[in-house]
Amino acid sequence: MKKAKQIILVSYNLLIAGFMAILGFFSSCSDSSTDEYGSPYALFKAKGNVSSATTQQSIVGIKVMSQQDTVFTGTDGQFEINAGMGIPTGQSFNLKFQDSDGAANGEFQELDTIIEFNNPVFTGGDGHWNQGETEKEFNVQLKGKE
Amino acid sequence: MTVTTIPFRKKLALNLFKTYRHNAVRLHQLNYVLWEATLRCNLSCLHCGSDCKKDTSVGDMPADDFLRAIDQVAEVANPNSTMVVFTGGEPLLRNDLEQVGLSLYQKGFPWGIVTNGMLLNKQRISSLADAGLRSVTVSLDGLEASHCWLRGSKVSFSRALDAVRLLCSVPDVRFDVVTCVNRRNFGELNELLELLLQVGVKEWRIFTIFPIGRANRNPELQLLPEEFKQLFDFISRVRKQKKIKLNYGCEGFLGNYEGEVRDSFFNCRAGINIASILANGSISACPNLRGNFIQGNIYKDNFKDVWEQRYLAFRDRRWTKTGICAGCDFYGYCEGNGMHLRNEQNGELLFCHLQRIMEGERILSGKE
Repeated sequence: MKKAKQIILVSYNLLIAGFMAILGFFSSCSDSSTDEYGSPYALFKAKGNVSSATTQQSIVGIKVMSQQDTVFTGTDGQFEINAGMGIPTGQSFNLKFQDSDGAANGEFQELDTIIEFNNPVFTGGDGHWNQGETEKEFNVQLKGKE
Repeated sequence: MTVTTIPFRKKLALNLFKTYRHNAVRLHQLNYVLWEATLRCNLSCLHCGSDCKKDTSVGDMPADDFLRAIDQVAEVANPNSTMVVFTGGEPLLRNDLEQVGLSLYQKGFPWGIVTNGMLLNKQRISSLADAGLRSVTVSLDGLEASHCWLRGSKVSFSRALDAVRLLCSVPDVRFDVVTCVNRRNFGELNELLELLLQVGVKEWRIFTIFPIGRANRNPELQLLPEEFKQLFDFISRVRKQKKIKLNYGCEGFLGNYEGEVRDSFFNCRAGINIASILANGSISACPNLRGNFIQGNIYKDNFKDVWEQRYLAFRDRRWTKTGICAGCDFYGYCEGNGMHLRNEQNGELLFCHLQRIMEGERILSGKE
């Protein structure tokens, strides 16, 4: 089935479910009353500092990207990013560090790297699928452009 | 007010739901897979819907074969929103459930089990939970005497109740109790409800026994029409009390009881959203759909191809409009009842819920 047709049908059914809720039949469109659909998941966060490999000075304005988030380092070179969502077990995610302001604050090479969460501990879950979040400190050094 | 007198507001909702269901048929989105993990069983239930055997020589499907089929499932369904449920036989007789479960977990599938509770102890539930188990359904078919009678074992009740108590103490695993109501336990439903509340059960499902498997040879297991009608009054009453989340099982259009005795309107999702892989590799819709309802076999066919190209009898059910369904005013809401209530050889309807309730109403009104 074509994607567009699929989207139309799903939207149509959401609309019907809405009308049924107005009529007082809130969960009549639910698939099952018993099983919890979805999968256990958790948020994996990374925070750290980006500095120059040559001068060890923190770098401001570095673009940090994961598959689901983009942030920039502050004046102290610090960043905090959602590295990814996933099954709450040991996971690894891609992080990319990119000099986004040209010559300002120095010029640095791009770094494509992997952050590994080994034996993560999760906090703040809801007791169901959402098992909360875990955080790891991840400091990187960027080489200057040649 | 009779079961066939449906108020305007509910009729409007039922008509909307009919369109909803037809859209779901066109979407044909798989989101529930049952695996008949074994045919071996440690009980011999009078009403069993499977061809279960105590004989341990009946071979189980190798885990790798099942997991290979699951990889094909992942090509047509989003693992994160597709529940895999191990059934049987008694799935806990397999010693590799944890390995299979962990593999599913790593592939992103939530999974659960349906069990008689005989082998569920603290150690097993802990190892299953470590492998990602998310839901358990335990069968408890009445108070001690009637449960043991139906299950064919003197210790089956205490073991099942122990399992339920144990599950009440495990926070991460969602569970419910399922009761097959029959003529023996019908009179003790209020006491059973009290017991479940006392133990701490939050969700309860009630089924009635339908004439397939061993139950076909035990017609006395089925409620009398008046009892059948009174059962829905009981469920409706208990739901209004809101002490426990009680639902009637996923079968039968129930006329004006729709919206009163279960969360959802009647909707047989077999072959629309539900598939099953049987012990011999057969690909079906629900595990009790065999014979001509089999759509393929994992040892011969690719699951993805089967799901996408077959299941035609499930997706277009106009063929069910025969016999008593042909002239039924409610056919549009029901479309021939649950597929498991159709004869697996000739497709004839084995049981009509609405007709049974109407019969019960007639008998009860005659007694007044």
